[in-house]
Amino acid sequence: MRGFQLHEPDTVAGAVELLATHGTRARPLAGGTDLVAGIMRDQVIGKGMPYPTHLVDVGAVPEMVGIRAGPEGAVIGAATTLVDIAESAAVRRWWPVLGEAAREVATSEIRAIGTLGGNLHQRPRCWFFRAKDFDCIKKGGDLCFAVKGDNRYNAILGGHLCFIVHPSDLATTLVALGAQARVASTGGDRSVWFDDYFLGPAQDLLRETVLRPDELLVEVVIPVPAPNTHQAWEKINEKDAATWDFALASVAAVMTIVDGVWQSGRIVLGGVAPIPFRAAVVEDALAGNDVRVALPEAVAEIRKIARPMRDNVYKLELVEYLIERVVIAALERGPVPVPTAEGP
Amino acid sequence: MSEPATTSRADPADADSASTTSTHRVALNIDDTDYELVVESRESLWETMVYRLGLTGANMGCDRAQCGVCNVVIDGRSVNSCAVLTARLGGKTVVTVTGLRTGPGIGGLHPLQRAFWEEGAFQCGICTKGFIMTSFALLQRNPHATDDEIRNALSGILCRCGEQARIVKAVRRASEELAAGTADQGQAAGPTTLMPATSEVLGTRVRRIHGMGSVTEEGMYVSLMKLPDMVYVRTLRSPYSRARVLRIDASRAEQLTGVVHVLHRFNLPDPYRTVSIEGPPERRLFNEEIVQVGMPVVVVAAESEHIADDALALIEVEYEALEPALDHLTAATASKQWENPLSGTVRTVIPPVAVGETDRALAESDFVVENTTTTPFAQHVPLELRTGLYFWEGDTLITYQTTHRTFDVRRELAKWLLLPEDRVRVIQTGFMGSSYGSADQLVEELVLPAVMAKIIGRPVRSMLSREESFLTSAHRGRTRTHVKLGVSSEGVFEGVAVDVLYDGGTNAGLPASAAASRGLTGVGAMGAWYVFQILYSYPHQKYEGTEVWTNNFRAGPMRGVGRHFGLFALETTIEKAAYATGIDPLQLRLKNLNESGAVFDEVTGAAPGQPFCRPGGQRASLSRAAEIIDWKGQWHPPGAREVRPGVFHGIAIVSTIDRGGGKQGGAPPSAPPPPSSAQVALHPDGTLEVFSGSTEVGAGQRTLMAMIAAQTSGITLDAVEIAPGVDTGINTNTGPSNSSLQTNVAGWAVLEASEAVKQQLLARAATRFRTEFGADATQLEVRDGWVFVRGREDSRISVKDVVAGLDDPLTGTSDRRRALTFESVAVGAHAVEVEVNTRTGTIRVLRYVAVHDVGRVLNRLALEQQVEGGVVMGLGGALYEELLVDDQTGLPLNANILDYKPPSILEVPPIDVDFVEFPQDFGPYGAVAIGQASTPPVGPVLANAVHNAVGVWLTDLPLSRSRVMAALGSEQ
Repeated sequence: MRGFQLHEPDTVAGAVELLATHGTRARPLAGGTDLVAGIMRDQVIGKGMPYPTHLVDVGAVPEMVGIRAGPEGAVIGAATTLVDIAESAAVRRWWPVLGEAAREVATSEIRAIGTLGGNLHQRPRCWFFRAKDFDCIKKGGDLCFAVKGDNRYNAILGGHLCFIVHPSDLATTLVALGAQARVASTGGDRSVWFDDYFLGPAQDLLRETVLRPDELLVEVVIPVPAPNTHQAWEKINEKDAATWDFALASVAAVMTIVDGVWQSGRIVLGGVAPIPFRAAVVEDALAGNDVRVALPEAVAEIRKIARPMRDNVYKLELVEYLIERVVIAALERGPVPVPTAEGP
Repeated sequence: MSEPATTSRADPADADSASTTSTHRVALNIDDTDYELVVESRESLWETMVYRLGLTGANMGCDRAQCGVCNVVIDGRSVNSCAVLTARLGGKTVVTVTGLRTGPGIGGLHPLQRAFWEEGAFQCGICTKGFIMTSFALLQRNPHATDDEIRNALSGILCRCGEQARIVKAVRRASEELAAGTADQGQAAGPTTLMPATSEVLGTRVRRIHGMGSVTEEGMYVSLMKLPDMVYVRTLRSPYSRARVLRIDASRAEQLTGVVHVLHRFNLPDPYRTVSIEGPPERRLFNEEIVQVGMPVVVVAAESEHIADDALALIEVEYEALEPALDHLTAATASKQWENPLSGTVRTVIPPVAVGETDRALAESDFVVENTTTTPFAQHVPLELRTGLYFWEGDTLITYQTTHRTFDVRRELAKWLLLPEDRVRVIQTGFMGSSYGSADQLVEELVLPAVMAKIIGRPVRSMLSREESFLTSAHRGRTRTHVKLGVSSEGVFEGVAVDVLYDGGTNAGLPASAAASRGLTGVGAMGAWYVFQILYSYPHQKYEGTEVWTNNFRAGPMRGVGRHFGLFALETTIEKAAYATGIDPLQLRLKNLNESGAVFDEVTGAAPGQPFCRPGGQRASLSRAAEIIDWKGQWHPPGAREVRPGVFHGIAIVSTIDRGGGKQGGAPPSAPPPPSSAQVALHPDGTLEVFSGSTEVGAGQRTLMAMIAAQTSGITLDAVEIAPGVDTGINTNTGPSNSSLQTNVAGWAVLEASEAVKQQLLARAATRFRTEFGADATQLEVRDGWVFVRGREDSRISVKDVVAGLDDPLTGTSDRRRALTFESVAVGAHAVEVEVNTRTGTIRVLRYVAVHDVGRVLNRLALEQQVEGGVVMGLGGALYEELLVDDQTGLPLNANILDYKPPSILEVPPIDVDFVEFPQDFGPYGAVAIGQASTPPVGPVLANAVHNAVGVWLTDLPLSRSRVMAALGSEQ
């Protein structure tokens, strides 16, 4: 592969200093499975996507590693590995939607080094974007090849000039849980709701998050689930089993349901849109209703806003099926317990 | 619409990224050894181990964290060693298979290593270290892992040879041994061989004779090898499927520190400029006119692969883009052959082969079933990256190759380097991350590094990237097949008409040179003929085919040529006929079997061609498969068994066939058969040494040669020695390990050479037997290492005793060409039970049954493995795998392992393998090569089972979710 400068800061302050110095040529490096072994080795570059010549290793910055969970909620360092999240008793008990997603990311090898921050910031899936010889609009070129080409895996929702899909299994769960990102930069820290964290191509063709090049995701703050919160997550891949294959569709559901009636909640879709896509139309149709009764019609609301392309109508059917399945699964599992100081 | 566009591939903004590379001091422990190193930022752990330290405890499969082949354990967790940067591993502890051993030999193996070998949990072995290390990490954390936990933990590692079930068994066995404390690792008195101390080995399960190399760091895969003072080459490839190379500016690359030489068509030395590799379309070492994506444009030699990559980014190439022909359906409408040879045209219209009056027969049939099927481009994805090491000694090229065609590679290299064959020496080490046909047609990639080594006077290492493997190796060609089958109301086949369209890409069928040498054209399409004509009988038959040339991938063999689309078309048509006539699908097949008769000549259509009589095997296979799957109990009308809401059960059974080791791909009877040769030496210490040019690809070729030698000579298998590799400087040609001919071709030669040694042994023993036992030489036999008097087994002298004191070994040789006939046909039957989810389009295989007739079983273990491997690769091709090409640019869309979607251990169902034995005269001991009979039936048996489950016909492979859902949607 081509060269780069590897920086190994010990602190968040040191890391953001480096990011600020090197600007668009710098990238934070965590597990590196997508950045180094994917984007950089495959030379996914273009006018709007320069080859990163400076990598800032945040994997060993102590402030960014670890899970603190209790009655106030959870704080998870962005450099915490996926396996640590998947195996965390607190996460599994109180935020199972996150634990389930973490457990099914890629492969056990990748979960061993891949991190929360890396999972949220991996570049999107679209084989035209990922292949070095298509100078696509996402890389600063002029057009989206998926419009006329084979678009069986592209977005059915929220595409605009560019039809990538957001690949992260964890991002949908963080939006569903109403989590926040703590972001550092040389100019100071800020918090961003994950609702506002991800950018679609309509907002910015070249970036997928609101982070500026000198900003770094330090940790994720997850609120305590309200009483009677039901949670579930699931994905469907092309291959039958959920291993090393990106989701054709995934659904994260976090819902407050009392006596079968929807009080509030979020249903967030992955693998079907350029960002983790909140299915507000479905949530609205369920609001105040008996979930089991209203579900089939509520799910069909997706059809009204979806814009499938030539080869991916089936993804619409899949995501409708999956929403029903995940919501029912969450209901049947019953409410998740409220975190206590005694621990999971 | 030819755009005169030019393009610059250089990235000026990133000029000289080498100067930005940082170096790092790092201290880490690998396999109980401490290392203090200075490494580059971009160096992966795998590169450090192999390139810097010469450690061979991890193999390489993709360099993208997509296959698990390179897995090692770091601080207790299994990770992809390609994906971690060494610079970040300060203070870490790395364990590879090397670190699991407590000492040399079998006694020092970890229980996991031993279990993988003994359970036959690998064939080619390229993935084995990865599986062992991930299993090791799992058992450290979870010593009593269940089968499901084992499968989940191992699901990030691929095995293309299909040994998933045996892998789970091996891990479970090792975990039980470890838990019970019965593992004997470190015992001084451990065994020194896993080979049985008997000569009666045929028909038994014999483990790989060189398995030690697969479960440890000892097996020398070429991708693990280094030579002193070696340089690395990397290649700039065309992003255009058709273009002219106008200008190359490599000046900045040439000035980069560490770049040794840059080679392209404008500075290629004189003798090599004229070399024409093959054609049409013509391929030279560097083409002026690019005819497919990925053709080499510039080759860089540098002190490291990384520097070569830096150099590639500095090279500017100006292309004139030309209009490519990418659609085989459009290309087929051209009327004149080679009207426009470089822009897509009909390459070959195969003259119709007709027997009887098919049109009339179809017109008069009670039922005519029409069926149109398609199959996509597909890739073998052998897990070792294709690697060659090259160096020159004077005027002689010596090269190590990952190849299954050691002698063919020598011939090709000699031809393309303008050398006599004896000035090229090709060495295949015996360890190869397999082929499945992918290494059949390496062309520019084979010869350019040799030219580079000649020019710069240093050894050269060339390892293709995974993407390059996808681009440059030959693929299974894309096809469309029309079939019309006439059936009487009683279920008798009256006639069949078949029309094939075959997209040969830049290479229609076999390489033009090979095809021409056999007087052939149209091999790709014709590869399907015998599938139709041998399995079932029809009084009237007609075959037509068109092969088109396009600017797509080179078409070539993948687990055979023509079998897979032929069988898919045939068996889905028969299934439709069964439902059209209302006859049980199994009974319809049994009723129409072609068990004796004559096979017409595929080139001329003349009948009778080759007479044959093969009663029993096909019928017995179908009956046995039906019995195992409980056809009577499980079959039901389509859509009749909903097992859960929206989930339906389906069942199907089909026939299968391969013509292994016989006529190759439509070759006429006059074509010369491959050479068949071997030498065997019985040494004074009683060991029998076998010299065979039979190249090991993982299927157990070398083990089988040793077994045939033992069985024939009577010397125990543990006393038989055979080197793992083949060296054209030592061995003699016995044909390539393709067309599944090694059992029949190399096997016969070893049998004859061993028989010659046995006769000399008996002659030498005769005097002593006369004096000691009063026995005549004609009464003597050899078995299990003893010469004895027939019927008086206690009147015996050990072989060792007989040969002790010999000055020279007793030697036997065999060297001839055996005529090949239609006798070498392996048949079988596959049956499957599936569940189809109508909401998600999921096809879940519950149970798979494969029954084959191979004449006689020789190595039962290797045979079972070959069937399993074929089924697993067939499942991938039936359900997920297709190499996609963008129809605007010709660029591949999924030329990586992740997006190509080969099945993981979680998608592999239980596979029951069984054999029926109807010995044939053709092969040694009545055997015929199994060949690739186990891959082609998977597509049709699954498509038919889906129909049985949900009542829709799927006629396009793969049977993806979207296709299942679309078919169900259009039904509603």
